[in-house]
Amino acid sequence: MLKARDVLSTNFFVQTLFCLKALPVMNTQFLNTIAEKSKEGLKGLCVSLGRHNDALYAVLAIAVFKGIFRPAFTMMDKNEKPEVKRYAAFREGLTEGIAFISYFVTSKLLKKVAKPICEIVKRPEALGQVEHSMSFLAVCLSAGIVIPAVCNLTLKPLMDLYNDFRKKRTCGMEKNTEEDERPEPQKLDIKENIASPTQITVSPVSIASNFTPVSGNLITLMQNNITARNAGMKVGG
Amino acid sequence: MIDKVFNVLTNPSLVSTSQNTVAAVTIETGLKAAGRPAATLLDKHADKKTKVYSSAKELFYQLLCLAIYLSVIPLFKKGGFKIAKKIFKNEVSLKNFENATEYLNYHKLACLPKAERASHKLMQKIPDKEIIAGAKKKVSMRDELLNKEKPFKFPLAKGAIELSSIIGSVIGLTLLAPELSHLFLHPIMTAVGLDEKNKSEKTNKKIDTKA
Repeated sequence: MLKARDVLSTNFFVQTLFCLKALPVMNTQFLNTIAEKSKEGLKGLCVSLGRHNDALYAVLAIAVFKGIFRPAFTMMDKNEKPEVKRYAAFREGLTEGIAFISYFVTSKLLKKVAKPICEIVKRPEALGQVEHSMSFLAVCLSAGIVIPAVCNLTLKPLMDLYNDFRKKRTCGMEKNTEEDERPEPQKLDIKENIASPTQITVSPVSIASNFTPVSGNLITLMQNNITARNAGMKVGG
Repeated sequence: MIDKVFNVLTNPSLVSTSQNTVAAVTIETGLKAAGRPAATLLDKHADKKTKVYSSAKELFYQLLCLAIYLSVIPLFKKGGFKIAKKIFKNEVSLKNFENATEYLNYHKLACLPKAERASHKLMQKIPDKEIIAGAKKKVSMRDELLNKEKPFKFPLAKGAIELSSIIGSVIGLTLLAPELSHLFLHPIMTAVGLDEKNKSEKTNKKIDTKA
């Protein structure tokens, strides 16, 4: 435990001051090294991209970010029901997942063909060029044919599986939703059973019975709102 | 047969296109615009009206995405090159060029065979100034392109542009294009006459449920 006398001792103060003084220096050094290393890393990345850029990198990056952002935007939509949002988001994520895998697999497969082609033609020095072209063709092939075809074939069964999974998982909730889907019972038409104003038998109330003698003539008596005072049901007499 | 395939695959323009992010993404989006509606039309599960509506919507969406992407990407290219120049102040390869356009013109010519460079229309846009290429040797930019079989390509400059293009592609196609295209998509669909049907169907349905 740190005692008060330790805190107050000059040695402790000196040490703390030294640490506080050293902290910003250490921080700036640390930040500088991080900045230098990130700069070197960025330079290496740029040089690498400049020498061997591949069409695959961009489309894979797009597929990854679309797979993140599109479901996120769908889930942020406030006008849709949560179940519908979940379904749409899953579908979008799945489509981008299929796209990512298709790009990657098609590119890998076509790149493998590059080496035999170069060997047959006896031009091994052109392997890099052939590989780049093959990768580009793989991207085109995936975008135009493979992805739409794979999505057409796999998306519906996968979504059905998803639906089954959701049904099993949210069994209790589904009952509630089924109940919600049932036609609402008709509200009791209370007004129908109430006797219409014409049917109400109004017993004649004599004005004179509640009349307290007011001094003055008949005109002042008639000007008083007698009906307003006597209207309505009187509970308890 | 394989010789012909090999010649196509090693064609300089195909090789340079395959290493160009913007060209690859543009062609990919164009193919999506053709492939996805076609796949929708071939779908056997949906009825004809739905297929036509969704395929037309997909086509217009992809075309709008492409237009937005192509209008946005030059900003990223130029901006990326400027930022790279600021980050790598001491790098010679970036100092040689004023902007991204100047470098891209140079690079395009450097990728072509030597014989084709002199007669190319881009050669007129190449300024007659000295650049430091390779082992810190000062040479004229035009001489580098006209006399050398394989001119120096400055991979750092190329990489900076490609990296900014990738970032631009991601931002353009995942954030900007989907949001902006929704502004134009419905008016276009209505102008073509596909959205009105949908609207009238919806109103009919509403009336039915109320009845």
